[in-house]
Amino acid sequence: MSVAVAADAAAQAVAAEPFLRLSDVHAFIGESHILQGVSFSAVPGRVTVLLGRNGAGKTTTLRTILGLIPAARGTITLDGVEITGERPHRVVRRGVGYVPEDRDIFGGLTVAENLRLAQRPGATAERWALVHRLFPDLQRRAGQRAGSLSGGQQQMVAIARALVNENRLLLIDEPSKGLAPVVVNQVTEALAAIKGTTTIVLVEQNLAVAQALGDDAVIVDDGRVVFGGSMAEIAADDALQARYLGAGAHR
Amino acid sequence: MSTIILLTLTGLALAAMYFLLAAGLSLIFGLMDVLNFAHGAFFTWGAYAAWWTIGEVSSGPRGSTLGFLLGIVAATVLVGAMAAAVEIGLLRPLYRRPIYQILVTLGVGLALAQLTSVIWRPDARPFPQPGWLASTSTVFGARVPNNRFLLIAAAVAVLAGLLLFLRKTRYGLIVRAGAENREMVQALGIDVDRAFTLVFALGGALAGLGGAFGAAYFGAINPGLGSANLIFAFIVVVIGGLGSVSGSALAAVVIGLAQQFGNYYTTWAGDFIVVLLLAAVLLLRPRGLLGTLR
Repeated sequence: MSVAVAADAAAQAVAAEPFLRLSDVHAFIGESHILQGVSFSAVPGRVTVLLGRNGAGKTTTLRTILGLIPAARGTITLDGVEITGERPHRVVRRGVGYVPEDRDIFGGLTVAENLRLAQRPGATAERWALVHRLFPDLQRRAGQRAGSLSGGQQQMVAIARALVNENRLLLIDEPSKGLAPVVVNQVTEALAAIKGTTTIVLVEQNLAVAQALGDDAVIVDDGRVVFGGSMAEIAADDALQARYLGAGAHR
Repeated sequence: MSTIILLTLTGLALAAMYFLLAAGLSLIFGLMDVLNFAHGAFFTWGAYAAWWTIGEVSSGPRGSTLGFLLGIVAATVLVGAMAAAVEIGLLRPLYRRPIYQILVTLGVGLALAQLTSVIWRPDARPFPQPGWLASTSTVFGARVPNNRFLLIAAAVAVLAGLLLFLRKTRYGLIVRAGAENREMVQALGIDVDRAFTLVFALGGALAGLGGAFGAAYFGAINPGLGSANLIFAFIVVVIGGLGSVSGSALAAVVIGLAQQFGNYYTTWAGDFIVVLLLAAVLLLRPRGLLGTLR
């Protein structure tokens, strides 16, 4: 399938009721024009994977959705409401959870404090039960300083932080990055367990993880969307992978 | 022996005053990355607010106990409100321009100090204190002014209160997390601006409180009171570790005692020892005694 046709097909597939929609979003980091017109939509209850080489603009896309980087042009809507230019805490309070690329857990705080800090008014006991079911280890280590945890445990804290609230959208940035294969499996299983319960936009370089979790896929290259379609299409298209994912894509 | 006790208690009182000034500086820098050069002026305004209130409430040259207590409250509340206004009105629009923020605090500090001179004249004025506060108690032969004990007690209470605030309250949690990673705090849906205002106001209130007690310690006030002590408060913050309240307390004790003993036994080495200590800490432990690298 050609890039343009695939993008059209993806656009039609999500035209029904996209939960998140980016239209021609531009963003700068300093003087660098990182996002040069990113447009895509995420369908409720599905996992949309953002793929692309390092430096393509995937992380910047997530950070721009959150308002951590201001969109210089274009619009971002969440559930039909425009959120472009909103401050990050207001975007998050609309029901957005964020798992950053480098986890960014608070190392000087305990595991319990990290989770308590993330908890917004309205967080239910069911959410805590879910977190404890997915990551029983964290319950055992509640009083431990988060900075002393292993990389995998820190990633669990980062994901748990996004799950303690009833979020309608999760933005998850490379959850498998830097983790041992066995831990990657644990993290993937945890994310698979919540798949379908909320809308997820996932940045992931590891194709195996992307395939295991992704429904829809968007390839970003040089700050632009160059492909939109299903994850299965990308998985089946070696030429597409070689062209846009290069050495960064690994199974 | 009595000299040692007197020097120790006076040094601890000086440390208490430095701590009241440094704790706010440290919290503000830890969370907001702002070096608040207006902090000395906040201290001065605390001293003048207490002095003015005592004068209004008390009759006669000596302050009444009620006047002193109201003076402390006035210094804390007024300077806390002043700091909140500075943060909201002047610093908030400059969050993305840290250099400008520093310049603004420098400008506010100079303007407030000048304003003190204009309103109350530049010359020093005696600070009226109730008789019991100005008189002395004998401790193992050493006659120690009672305001030293009160200052030490106030600093210990503030330290305990701050640690409880930081460890047991949600805002304390936000301040601790914000000192590590401000952006991630926002990304958890927390309005970090509100925490900035709170911390700046809290720091200002503590500087005001320090000013009131500092005035009692020195027995006189002048418009340069705060700026004279601000440099030592900055040294305390750096030695203690930026953002660490416990570190500031520890460093304040080290500096206060070193200064008192140094000045007594050599008449010139007190401040020199402080600079040497600063250099030693910067060389051997750049993050400070209890600071964490960020």
